[in-house]
Amino acid sequence: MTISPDRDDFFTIFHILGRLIIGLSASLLLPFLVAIFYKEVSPFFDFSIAISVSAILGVSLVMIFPSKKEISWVHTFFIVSLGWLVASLLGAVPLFLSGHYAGFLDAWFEAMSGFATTGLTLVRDLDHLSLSHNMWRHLMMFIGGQGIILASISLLSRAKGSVLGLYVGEGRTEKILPNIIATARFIWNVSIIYLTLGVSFLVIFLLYKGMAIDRAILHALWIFFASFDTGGFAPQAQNIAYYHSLGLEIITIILMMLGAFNFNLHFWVWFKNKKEIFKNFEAKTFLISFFLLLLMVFFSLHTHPHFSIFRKGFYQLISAHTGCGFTNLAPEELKGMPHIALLAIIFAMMIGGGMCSTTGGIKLMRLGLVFKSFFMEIRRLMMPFKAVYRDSYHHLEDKIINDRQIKEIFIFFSLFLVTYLIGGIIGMLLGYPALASLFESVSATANVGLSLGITSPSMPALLKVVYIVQMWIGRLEFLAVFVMLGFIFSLFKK
Amino acid sequence: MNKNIIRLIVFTVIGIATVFFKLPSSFAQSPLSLKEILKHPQLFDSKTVVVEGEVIGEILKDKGGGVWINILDGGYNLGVYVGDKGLLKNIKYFGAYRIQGDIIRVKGVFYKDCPIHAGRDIHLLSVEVIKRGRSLKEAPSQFKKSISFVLAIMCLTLVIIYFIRLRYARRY
Repeated sequence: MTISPDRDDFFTIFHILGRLIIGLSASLLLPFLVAIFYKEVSPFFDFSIAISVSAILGVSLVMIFPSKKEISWVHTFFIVSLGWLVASLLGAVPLFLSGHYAGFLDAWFEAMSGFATTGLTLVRDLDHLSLSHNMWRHLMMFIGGQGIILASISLLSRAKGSVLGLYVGEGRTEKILPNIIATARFIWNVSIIYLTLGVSFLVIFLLYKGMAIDRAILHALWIFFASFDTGGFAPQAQNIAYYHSLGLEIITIILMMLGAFNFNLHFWVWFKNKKEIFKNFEAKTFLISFFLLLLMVFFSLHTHPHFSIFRKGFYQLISAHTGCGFTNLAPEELKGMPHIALLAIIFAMMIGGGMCSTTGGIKLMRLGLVFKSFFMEIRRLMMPFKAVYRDSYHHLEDKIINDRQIKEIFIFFSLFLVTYLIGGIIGMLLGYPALASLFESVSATANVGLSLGITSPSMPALLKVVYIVQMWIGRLEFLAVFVMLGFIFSLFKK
Repeated sequence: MNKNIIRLIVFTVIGIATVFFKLPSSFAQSPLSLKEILKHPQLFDSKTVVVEGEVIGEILKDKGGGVWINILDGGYNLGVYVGDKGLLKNIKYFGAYRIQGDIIRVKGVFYKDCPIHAGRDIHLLSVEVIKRGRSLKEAPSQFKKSISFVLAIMCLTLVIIYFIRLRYARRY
């Protein structure tokens, strides 16, 4: 027997959605203030319209649909799935009005890419985009990386135990502290500390590079948002290559790795046991997978000078593995890399980072456990028929692998692989080469943002929609979207 | 065979051979598009090229003592390494929002894999400003202004109604 939502449930869902939209409207105030500060007249009106539209919609929903129930498990999947869709649609409004996008679909693509921390972009003439629009592009990554709903959870004092569904719905399956609201606030606190440190370092560095103080601060903030939240947008069309700086590339590597590691690991290393980083299962999986893939890249680029291998191979690979999507190469350069190196980058993008992090993809924990369960099965077959065999792994504490966990992991693993393939096949059917289609599909689903050039304003509208859906379900890790669809289906069954 | 036809063939062959063998150095004579260079980098690697493009952003220092500028041409960007910053003294406008940067003609050596910087770049030999940039005026449409005004009024009205209702609900 399954639960089916009734009229009161939908009232609660729309009420909470209204509150989320009011929150989004408030976050649009930051780029609006930037437009005022820099006297950017046209963006001023763009953001004024976006704030008004969001606030009108949000307040209307709150007023028309009074909350009749406490938030429960049923509501959370609708709130998360619809929340991300509505946020991206409203977030696209100021981008569309900027005139830098071919149409609303392109602006929606950009907004979804921002919120999902993907980094694929359809902006035209980025080098002449206003500071306020750039602020919004990068702020979307910060909000999305932290979790749109998570941001709200920390503010929802009324929501109690039921907010677990909201948290899980956004693709986070681990609690750091016993209380979800405390967990959400901890994630915010960690991010704010890294924000302060990261931006300070970046400002000093960019000042040394010769940037004016205000541009240095803005660029530092945007680079931080895009690297720590593993987004990948950049304020200039050349992405990280614009700065021509090895030092900056190293700083971004550190920031993207901090963002890609499990927040739980941050908590343990900060407050409990510093040695956890050496024992942690995810950290070990990362090391193994990264170095195996690095070998593939080094092998394919072995004729290049060492420095070139680092800047071309190592940087793209770490950017792909952490799901960031920063690049110091032009699409033509990336496309021109040997196929073995591109395959290594595709594998790295498929895997992603830690479970409770800002990255997308299959995730290190699942990959590690897939391999562990494979070896477990071989060992089990080598044992006497009646023997009971259990294996364990160390993630914060020693944990025994159980069958239910393996089943769940294989479901997610398969869902990701199927989605990667479907996007790749659609790309091929639309006339793109196989490798490039797979690359782009994986990049969209795993929320990475590296591109071999397919993602452009001229690509077919169908492919834009496919990538929007991939970014959406990839970021929410399928669960919230599928459960919502299941509930909608149950309504028709009634 | 007619002598004129033989002469024509000889001159044609010499002409084609001259163009063929002279091709690399001709890169330095007429401006190439960045698209052409970036799409076929192997053809231009370590050769002197002339390109034209808008200077964007700002001058960025390099740790080796030189500086970098970035140019934009037809949607393609490339970094230009400048050993002597003094060469850039004539550049006044750098492309950004509301600024059309100076269009410059750059003569320099293109590297597919620069041995010093490990990237794709041009090492500048000479530069000239061929079109001065300018500040651009913003002109938001009257329609946009009107919509913005109407929506702001609607939004304020709705928010006031919401707070009045909230206050009323709390009291009674």
